Parts: sequence; structure tokens; C-alpha cells
Amino acid sequence: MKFKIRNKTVRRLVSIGLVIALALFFALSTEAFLSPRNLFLLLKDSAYLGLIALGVSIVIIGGGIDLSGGGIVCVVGILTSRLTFTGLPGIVILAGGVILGAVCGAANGFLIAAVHLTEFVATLATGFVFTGMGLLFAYRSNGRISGNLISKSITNKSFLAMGKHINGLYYITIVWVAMSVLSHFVMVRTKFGLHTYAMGSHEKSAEMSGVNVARQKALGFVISGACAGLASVMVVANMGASAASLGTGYEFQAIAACVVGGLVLGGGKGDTIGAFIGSIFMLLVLNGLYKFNLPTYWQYIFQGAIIIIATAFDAQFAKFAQKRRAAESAARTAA
Amino acid sequence: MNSKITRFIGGQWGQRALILLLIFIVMAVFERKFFTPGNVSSIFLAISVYGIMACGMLFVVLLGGLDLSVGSMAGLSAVIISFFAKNDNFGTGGVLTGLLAALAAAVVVGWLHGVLVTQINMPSFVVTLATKYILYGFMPMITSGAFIYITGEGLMYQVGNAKVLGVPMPIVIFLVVAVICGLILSRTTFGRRLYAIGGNPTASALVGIHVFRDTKIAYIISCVTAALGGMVLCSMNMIAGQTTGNGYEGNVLLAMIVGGINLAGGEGGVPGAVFGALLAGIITNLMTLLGVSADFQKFVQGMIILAAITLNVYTGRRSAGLSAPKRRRGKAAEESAKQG
Repeated sequence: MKFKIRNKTVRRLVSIGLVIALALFFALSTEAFLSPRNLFLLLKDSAYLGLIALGVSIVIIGGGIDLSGGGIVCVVGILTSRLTFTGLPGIVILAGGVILGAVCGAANGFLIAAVHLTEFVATLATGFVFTGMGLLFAYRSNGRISGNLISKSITNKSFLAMGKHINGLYYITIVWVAMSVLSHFVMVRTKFGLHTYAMGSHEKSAEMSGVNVARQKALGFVISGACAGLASVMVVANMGASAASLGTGYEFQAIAACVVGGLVLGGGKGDTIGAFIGSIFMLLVLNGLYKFNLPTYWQYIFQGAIIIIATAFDAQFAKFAQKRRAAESAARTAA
Repeated sequence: MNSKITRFIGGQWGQRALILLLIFIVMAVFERKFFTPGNVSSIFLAISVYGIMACGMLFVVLLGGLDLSVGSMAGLSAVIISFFAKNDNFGTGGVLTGLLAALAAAVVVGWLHGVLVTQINMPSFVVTLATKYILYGFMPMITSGAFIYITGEGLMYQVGNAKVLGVPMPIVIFLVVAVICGLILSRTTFGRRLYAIGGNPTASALVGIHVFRDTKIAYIISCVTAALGGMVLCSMNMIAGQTTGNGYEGNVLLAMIVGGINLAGGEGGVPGAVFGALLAGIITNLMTLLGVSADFQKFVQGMIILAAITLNVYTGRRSAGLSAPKRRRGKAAEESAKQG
């Protein structure tokens, strides 16, 4: 009996191996890395990126792309921080933020599924629009639109409680892990997940087999928006204020995290756990950069290089996997 | 005769003229400052940088690709040129060495894009997005985090501020680049091959076009014009640093989309890109005149992109993006099937 290992598992082992190797390297080279405080902070930051990447990964599996995550984080963050001053309980504001994110996602979904715009251009444009809306609602020094942006500390106690931690473990991390497990279950065990994979693998066949492609696409964007909204609320609660620069660049980082985790742009490959591992990897790299006191611009060079290497690897890995499959089936026929 | 006029009004250029006319009417009513000679020349100066970059990026877009790295490429080239020029105290020799170095960097980056897109088979938007970050990260290594101020009245000053027969130099450079790109696309076999590849890469390969080679050349052209745009930009602003060219890819993309270039490839030309740059420049200027704050301008940009592509979908003239013909389905597909 020969030991068999699936291509999917090989790819997963590669991404997990990368994370472990990098963590080992940092643990051995810097002492500060393994301190519990640093690890909890690392998990908190990866949860912020990870929640956005989680939503984006569902869109990517369905064959689309979502570039509006950063914009949604910006507008939701600023509007929820305004909501906190009404004195509403934190949980209501959380719900409001998630719903607002879902509405932004629904706008994307409408443009793509009903107006038939292309994902890339449409979400790029709505990303601009959402960021602009966020800036419109941001606090200003003299109250006029042309005034300078300022940040205002949030005083709502029940809202700020969401940004706290239990023995160092932040709530946002718990929410992230729970959401990842839930979404993996949804993607693997439910009709929604099955249809999304079908749509991402081959849209036309999926449609002919009776998948409601338009609804499926729109739902993916709604989930992506809701996840970005959730991430935004939790981060604002943690920081105690919202800034106009909130979420800038996160749309691309989320895609990078997905790509590192083994999701393939074009759809049908990879899963939401891949986005989970990819997010940890992205933040691990940043964390290490700070520990080695490298200048911040190395961050851009590293992140760009990671995106290229991961995508190039996947492109080559697809060829390898195909050859392996062909060899296996040939062996089976021979036997 | 009558049908000719209706065809013009219903056609692409008729729509473009109509949009410009609308803007002029709005400006005539609300903001007379728009028509002052100073403002008109500042619009054209802004357009010249977008235009130079758009003409080059057009080559990549015709292939159905995208180049998101043009903003960072422009910034990097501005920084390289000013670095060399500053070491030579802004003499002609230093500027030319810098220009050569910047062009060499652009060729290398463009070639790298081409290799990754063709031989490694990566999506162009992922590749150029990654290099956008990498180039942006390289900039502070050259400037060591500070701004480089351009002083003196040497060649570096002349590129952005001299006048040829009363026409500012950036506009002259823009026109030269546009004419050269237009001639390459419409009068050379290389240009026609690009349209063929953009229309159907598999068929092009079958009829014997070197798809990989031509794709690499297109990406190199895009980076080279971006480097030229960066030189003009820093010379006009008399300063080069980390923020130079940052976010320009958004404006160039806006120019592409409002210029009616099909992002799925194979459709569009230099006139469209030039018109798009003109419109993008006018819109940016208009917002500044009307007192729209700089950070809110992105909102308007996004709305304009959405409006432009929605219009394109519903006029049905052309598809609205990367792979819209395949993706357009449901009602729209049925309608187009009936019409076709």
C-alpha cells in the first residue's frame, strides 16, 4: 500500500511550513519574538487583516475579486465612531457596523450581478467611493468640509469593551478564529459553499447546472462587505478612535494574504483556511521587520516580493499538480 | 447627410464632444475662472503627465493587461534622475546620465513584468501591483527619505518649464509621445500585431505571431513612458521625493476608462487615451476650482469610473472591462443575442 497525499494537502503543507519556518527563524534570532505579549499582538493584527481576507477569499473562490475592502473599513470605522457618541450599547453599534459593511457589499454585488460591471474595475471604483464617503463623515477641526481632519477619542464604555482582551487574548482574535471555522464549515458543508466552488471552477457549467450565479455572486460580495465591516468595528474599538487613513492599502494586503494561503485568482481553488494562514504569514513578516529594526520601506519591498513569489509558485505548482495527476491515472490504467 | 450627422452624434466622438460641451456649459455658469489663460495652461500641464503615461499604458491595455506600477515607476524615475542631476549640480551631463539610468531601470522592470506575465503565466494585475509596492519601497533608498529640490536653470528646469514657440515643454513632449505611440500602433506591423494579440492570443500564436516577445515589448514601453512622465512631473514641480507619482496609476486608469479603451484588450487607440487624459485633467482641475477637498476627489473619481463603465455596458458599444463579454449574461446577453 503506497502512501498517497493529495495535491491540496501538499499546497497546505507548504503554506503552513512557511509560517513555521519563519516563526522559528524569528524565535531563534530575536528574543522578544516569543514573548506572550508579542504573540498576542501578532494574533490581534492578523485578525484585523484576516477578517477582511476571509470575506475576500469567498469572493475569490467564486471567481471574482474584491478591491473595495479598504474603502469599506474606512467608511464603517468612521461612521461607527460617530455612532458611539449617541450612547448606544456596544453590541448595537457592532451590529450597525456589520450591517453597514453588508450594505456596501450589496452595492458591489448589485453593480456586478445586476448591472454586469467587471469585478476589478467596479470594486476599484467603489473602493474610491467608500473611502471618499468615509472622509466626508470624518471629524474636522472647524466643522467645515475643507477643515483639517482630526481624530476624536471614543468614550463609550460598552463599545470600548469589545477592543479589550482576556488574559492577553484579544476579542478580535477570538471572533476571527470563530468566523474562520464557521466559514470553512459553510464553504465545505453547505449548498452555498458548493455553488461558490462550482461557480469559481467554471461559471458557465455552473449556471447551466442550475446555480443562480447572479445571486451567488452578490451574496459573496455581501459577506465580504460584512466581514470588512466587522473587522473595522473591532479595530476601532481596540484603538479607541478612528482615523481617515483607516483601512488604506488593506484591500491589496487581503488579496496578498489569500494568494499566499493558496487561493488562486480566477476561482475554484483553495479555501478560507488558506486565507487564515496567509494573514498570519503577512503579519509575521511585518513583525519580524520591526524586530530587526529595518527601515519601514522594506515592508513594501518584502510584501511585493511575497506576492510575486507566491503567485509564481502557484502557477508552477498547478503544472506540477497536473503532471502528478496524469502520472497517477497512467499508473492506475497500467495496473 | 442627415444620417451622417446622427451617426456622428450617436457615435463615439459625438459622445465625447457632448461630454466636453456639458462641462464647458457647467463651468461657464458656475466658475468663470475655468476659462482664464492661466488655468487653461495649468490644465494642459497636468494632462501632459497623465497623457504621456496613458499613451504607454495603452500598449499593455490593448493586450488585455493592466499596468498598476506606472505611478511608482514615475516616482522612481523622478528620484533617480534628480539624484544623478543633484550630484552633478544640475548640469546637463548629470541629467542625461540620470535619464539613461531611469530608462534602464524602466526597461528592466518592464521586461520583468513581461517575463512574469508570459513565461510564468501570472495575472498582469497581480504582477504590476506587487512591483508597484517594490518600486515604492526602493524610492527612499535613493533619496534616503528626504526630498530632492531642483535648483538652477539647467536642463532639469527646462524640461518642465521651457517654452517652444510659446507652447510649454511638457505639452510638446506629450504631443511627441502621443504621435510616436499613435504611429507605432496604427502604422507598424508591431502595432497591428498588438491588436491581434489583444483580440485573440491563441489565434495570434497560431498564425505565427511571437506573442511572448511582443507582450514583453509592450510592458517595456509602458514602463519607459512612465519613466518619461516621472521626469516631466518632477521637473514641473521642482521637487522629487517619496510622494512623487504616488497614486498616478488611478488617474491613468481613469483616463483609460473614460477614454473608452476596452480593458479586455484589442480595442481603442491613442486618440481615446488622449481624450481620456484630457477629461481626467479637466475633472481634477474642476474639482480644485470648485473647492472640493483633495481627499474627497477620490470619491468623485470612483463615481466617474462607475458611471463611465455603466454607460459603456448599456450603450452596448463595447464591453466594460477585463472579461466582460464572457461574463455578461442573463438579460443583457439575451438582448445582445437578439440584436446580433
